[in-house]
Amino acid sequence: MSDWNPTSNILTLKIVYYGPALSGKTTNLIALHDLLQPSFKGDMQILETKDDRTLFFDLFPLGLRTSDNTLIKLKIYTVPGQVVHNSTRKAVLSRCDGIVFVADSQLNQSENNAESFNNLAQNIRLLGLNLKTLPLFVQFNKRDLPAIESIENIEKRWSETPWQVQYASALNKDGVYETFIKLLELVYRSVDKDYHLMDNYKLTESSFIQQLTKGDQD
Amino acid sequence: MEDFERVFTIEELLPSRSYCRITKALQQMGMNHFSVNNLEGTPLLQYGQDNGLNQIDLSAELEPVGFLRFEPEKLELAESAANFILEVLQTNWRYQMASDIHLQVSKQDYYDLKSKHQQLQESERRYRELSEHLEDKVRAQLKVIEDSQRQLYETEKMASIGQLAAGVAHEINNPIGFVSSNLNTAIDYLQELNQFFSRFLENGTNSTLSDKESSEAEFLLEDFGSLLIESKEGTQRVARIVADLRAFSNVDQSEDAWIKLSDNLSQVARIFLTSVEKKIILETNISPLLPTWCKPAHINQLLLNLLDNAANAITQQGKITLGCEMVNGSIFLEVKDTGVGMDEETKRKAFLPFYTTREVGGGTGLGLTVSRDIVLAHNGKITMESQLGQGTTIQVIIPLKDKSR
Repeated sequence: MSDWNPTSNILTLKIVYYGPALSGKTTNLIALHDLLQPSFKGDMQILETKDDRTLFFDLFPLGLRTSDNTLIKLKIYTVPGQVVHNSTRKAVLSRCDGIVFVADSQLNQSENNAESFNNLAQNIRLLGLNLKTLPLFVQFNKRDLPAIESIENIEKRWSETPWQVQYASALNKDGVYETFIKLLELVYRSVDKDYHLMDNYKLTESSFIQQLTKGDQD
Repeated sequence: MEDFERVFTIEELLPSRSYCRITKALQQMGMNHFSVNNLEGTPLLQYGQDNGLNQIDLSAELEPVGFLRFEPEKLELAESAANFILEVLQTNWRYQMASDIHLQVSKQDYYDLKSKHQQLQESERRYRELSEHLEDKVRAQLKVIEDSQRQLYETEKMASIGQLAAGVAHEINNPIGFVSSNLNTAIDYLQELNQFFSRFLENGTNSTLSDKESSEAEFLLEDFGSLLIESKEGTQRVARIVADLRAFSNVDQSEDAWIKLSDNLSQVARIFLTSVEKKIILETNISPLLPTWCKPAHINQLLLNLLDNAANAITQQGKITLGCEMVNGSIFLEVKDTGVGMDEETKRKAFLPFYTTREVGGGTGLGLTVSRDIVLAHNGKITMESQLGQGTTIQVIIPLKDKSR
C-alpha cells in the first residue's frame, strides 16, 4: 500500500493500469502525460518493450506539495498484459492504492477482458489486498473502433458490480482524463481513511485532484 | 530483496565508470569549474575549483537526487549539461528498475517452483508409502467385502427360510383346521350318543329304538369313527412336516456331518411340495447314494433353491423332475423343469449376484449365486441347460468326500 517516509517527508501512492494485452494501457498513460499539468510532473519512463508490447512496465511519476511541505507522490504504472508475464504483473500490482482496469471494447475481446479481470482478482487476493475495498475503476477503451460492444450490453453486465465504467478512446485522448479523475476521487477517499489528508495536511479532495491535474494555479 | 520501486541514490544512477567521460564532455562543452554532488554535498566528480559556484537540481523522478555546481556566468551551458546528465540518470534508472523487477520476479518464480517441487516430492512420498502398504490395504478391503458377502448370504438364507415358513404354516394350518372341526363334530356326536346310552341305562334291556332312531345311531357311530381316523391322519401329516422341518432347523449351524444325500432329497421334496401353490407334478428318481462328509444344511438349501427356481419358472402348471444317482463315484443331482426357460442374456447373467427376473420383492437375485457357492464349497460343479420355452435343467456333481480329508 501507500508508503510514508517521515525523514524525506514524502507520501508515495501507487496507481496501476491493469487489463488484457493490447487494450491500450500504455496509450492511456502517454495521453495522460500529455493532458495533465500537475504541480510536479516527472518524465514518462517507458521500460523495455518488444514489438511495442510492454515487457516490464511504464511509469509516470507526478506529485503535489501540501501546505506543510509534504510531497505526495503519485506513481502511475502499467502492467504487461500478455498472459505469460503474470509474475511481473503481480510484482507491479503489489501494494497498490488504486487500479484502472482498461478493457478492450472490441466484440472479439470480451473473453480476454474476462480472463484478465479474473487474473486481476486472483492476484489481488494472492497479494493480500481486498478487491471489495480497493479503489477500482473500469474503462472500456477503443470506442472509436467499428465492431465494439454496445454501451447497453456493457451497462447491463457491469451495473450488477460495485464498479463504475468510463468509455474512452485513448488514442484520441477521449475519456482518459475523466477515467483518471474518477479514480483519483476513489483513491483520495480511501487514502484519507489511513492518513487523514484533511486533518493532517489540510488537503481537500478537490485540491488533491486540482493539484494532480491542473497544478497550483486556480 | 531489492525493490524496483525504491528511491535510487545518485551513486546508483551515475556509475563511477562514466565519471571520466562526463567530466571530459562537460570540459569540451566549455565548462572550467564544476562538480556533480550528491544530496549530502559530497562531489562524485569534480573539475577546477569550487569557489562561488551556483547549483542546479538533478531530478530523475520528481525530487532531486543531487546537484550540478557551475560557474554563475555559464548558466546556459550548465542547463545543457544538466539535461545531458539527467538523460544518463534516467537511462540508468530505467535499467535499474528493469533489472530489479526482473530479479524480483525470477526469485519469486524460483521460490514458487521450489515450493511446487516440494509439494510434488511430498505427494510422491505419499504414493510410495501407499504402494508399500497397498497389499495390507487390499487385504483389509477384501475382508470387508467378504464380511458383507457373508451377510448377504445370511439374508438370502433367511429370505428362503421365510418363504418356506409361509408355505409350511399354510400346510400345517390345513390339517389343524379339519382336525379341530372334526373334534367339534365328535363332541356333538358324543352328546347325542350319550342320550341313547342313558335311555338304556334307565330302562335296561326293555328299551327299544325306533327304526329311525336306530339308523341315526348307526350313522353317528360310523361317522364318529371315520372322523377320528381322518383326524389321526391329519396329526400324522403335521408330525411329518415337523420332522422334515427339523432338517432345516439347524440351517445356521452349518456343521459337517456324515450323511446320505438321497435322504435329504426326499425330505426337501416333501417340504417343497407343502410350499407350492401351483399345479406342479414333482417326479422323483432317487437312487440310493453313498454317504459323504458334507454340510447338510447347505445341501438342503441348495436343493430347495433349485426346486424353488424350477417352480418359479412354471407359470400355471408343469412338471419338475428331481433325480439323483452315483456317477463315476460322484454324486449326481439333477433338477429339470418344464417352465419358461431362459434366453441367452438371462443364461449369461443367471449366476451373477443380484440378477433376478422376478418382480421387485420377488427375489434377492442371490439364489443361484449362493447355490453355486455351496456347490463350489463342496468341490463340486454346477451346470445349466436352458432354452426359451423349453424349460431348464440344472445339473450338480459333488464328489464323495471322506471325513479325514
